[in-house]
Amino acid sequence: MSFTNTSTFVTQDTECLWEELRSGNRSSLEAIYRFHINDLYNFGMSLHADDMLVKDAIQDVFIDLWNYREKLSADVVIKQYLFKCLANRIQKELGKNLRRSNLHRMNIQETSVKSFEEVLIQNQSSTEISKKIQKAMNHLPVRQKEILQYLFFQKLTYEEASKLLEINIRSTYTLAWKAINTLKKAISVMLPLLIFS
Amino acid sequence: MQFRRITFTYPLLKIMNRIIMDKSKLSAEDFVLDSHFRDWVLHPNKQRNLIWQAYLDKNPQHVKEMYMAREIILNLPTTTYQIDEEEISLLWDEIDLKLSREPILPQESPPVPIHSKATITKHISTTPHTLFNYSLLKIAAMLALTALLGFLYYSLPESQITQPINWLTYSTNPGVKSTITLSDGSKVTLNAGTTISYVQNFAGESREIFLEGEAFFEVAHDTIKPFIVHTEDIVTKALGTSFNIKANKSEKIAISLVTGKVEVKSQEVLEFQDYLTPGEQVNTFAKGNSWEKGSFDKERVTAWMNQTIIFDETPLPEAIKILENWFGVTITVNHFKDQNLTLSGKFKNETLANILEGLSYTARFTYEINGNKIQINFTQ
Repeated sequence: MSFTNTSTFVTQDTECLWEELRSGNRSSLEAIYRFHINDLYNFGMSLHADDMLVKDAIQDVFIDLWNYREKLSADVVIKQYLFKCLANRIQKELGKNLRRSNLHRMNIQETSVKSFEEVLIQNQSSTEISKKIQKAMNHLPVRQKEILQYLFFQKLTYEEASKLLEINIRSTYTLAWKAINTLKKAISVMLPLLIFS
Repeated sequence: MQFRRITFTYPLLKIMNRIIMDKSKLSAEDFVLDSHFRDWVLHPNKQRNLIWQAYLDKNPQHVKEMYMAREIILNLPTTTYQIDEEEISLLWDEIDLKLSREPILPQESPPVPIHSKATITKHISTTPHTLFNYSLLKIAAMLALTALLGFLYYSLPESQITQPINWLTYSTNPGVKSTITLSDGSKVTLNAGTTISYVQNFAGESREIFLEGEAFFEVAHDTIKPFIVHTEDIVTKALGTSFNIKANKSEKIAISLVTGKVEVKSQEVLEFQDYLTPGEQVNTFAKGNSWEKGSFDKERVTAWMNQTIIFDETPLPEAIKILENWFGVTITVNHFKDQNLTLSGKFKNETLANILEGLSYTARFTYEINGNKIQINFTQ
């Protein structure tokens, strides 16, 4: 499976890759991987900024995809399907050792990831508000990060997002509302300043 | 104005109509979640300005919440996480490797079922196993000390009794390979004639394993507790990776990294220390005798896991040793003269008889199989 082979796949219609995967074509799995890996990685890291955990989860998603290829349904939006699998995987991984992940959040995320963000923030000469929002965002539960990703960054509709989250539209809205509520609380101390400045 | 009136209901999203009954109580959250409001904030144009101006005129009580909503939207993080091309390929290789590896089923492990009690023996002992003489004792002492310090640190009156450290030992007999899952979820595939031991439940700061023989490790991810494999004085330290270690008694120790990253070092010689990236290998004689870092052929190193024996200009005595261990037999060689004789060949899932048959033509010998005793006869 050389890279030149896959690049021809990449230019092909991705829906046909799905068909080929279901019929057992292994190189289509690699093509799907190469086509979506950047988005998947970014999405995964947005849910939980732990490089190793996200990569492990991506690995598991593709291994499952291959092992259960015969059971895959025909009509899916590949990207959305992959996102859903990855989010579930990360959720599961974090649930497995909740205590550890909390510890981890305190140790790793605060140090390594935040410093990266700090650099970014400095570059953009952002304000105190975006720092506060960023921090609050990092501490949201994974499901809430997931819904914000779907709605704001992937620009999915509530219907699409609710399908991916496997909850009804009302719950989807509530979940997103809670997430925004946390962000709002994080900056509400600064509200007088905002209004009267 | 005609325009205002027509478009007035536009900002109230369908979703809001359905979910929020009392529209007079719209809060900042609701505005953030309204895609039309977001469009206006992020990409304002004349038409959107008019629409929302009209909305504000009609609902002046929302101004504060709308202001807040606008701040949230404008300050949502735009961080994107990049993965570079090399990492993309490495990650794929890892997936590819896992998909290519056939599961090792216990019943198909020994092609020649010679040992009837060829199963994994498992025993628990409260003292360190004698197999690992020196280094193990050292480590055991270290762990005991750590435990003791722990007790002193917490200095609880009820924890005066020192708890014994339980060592678990797994070994495979010659002729049998096996896969075990450790308590932390890590998977270890043992080649024939291999022994590992570790402290039950991985009590302590790290996951320490002692290995003699050959094993492939797929380490469960755990950033808090590093996974450490001891082979004589050589220590391989990993967080979440897969690698192969070959450490047969009185042979060179080879540590081959397939995925992730590991640190390999000698506990005796300070300069013998390296970080491996996938595809890299350290070859070392223990006790500071030699240290060599290079690359390795993944297919060859992990062949044993796919029921494959590969001889590549392997000297006969070495090949005999491999076959003996693989099939759990003893091989006697008669009239062996040509010390330079090497064997080559790749045997996947073959019986010993087939392998000997294949080799007998090129190496020019005859053979007899008598239960688990094999005679190889060179002519003259």
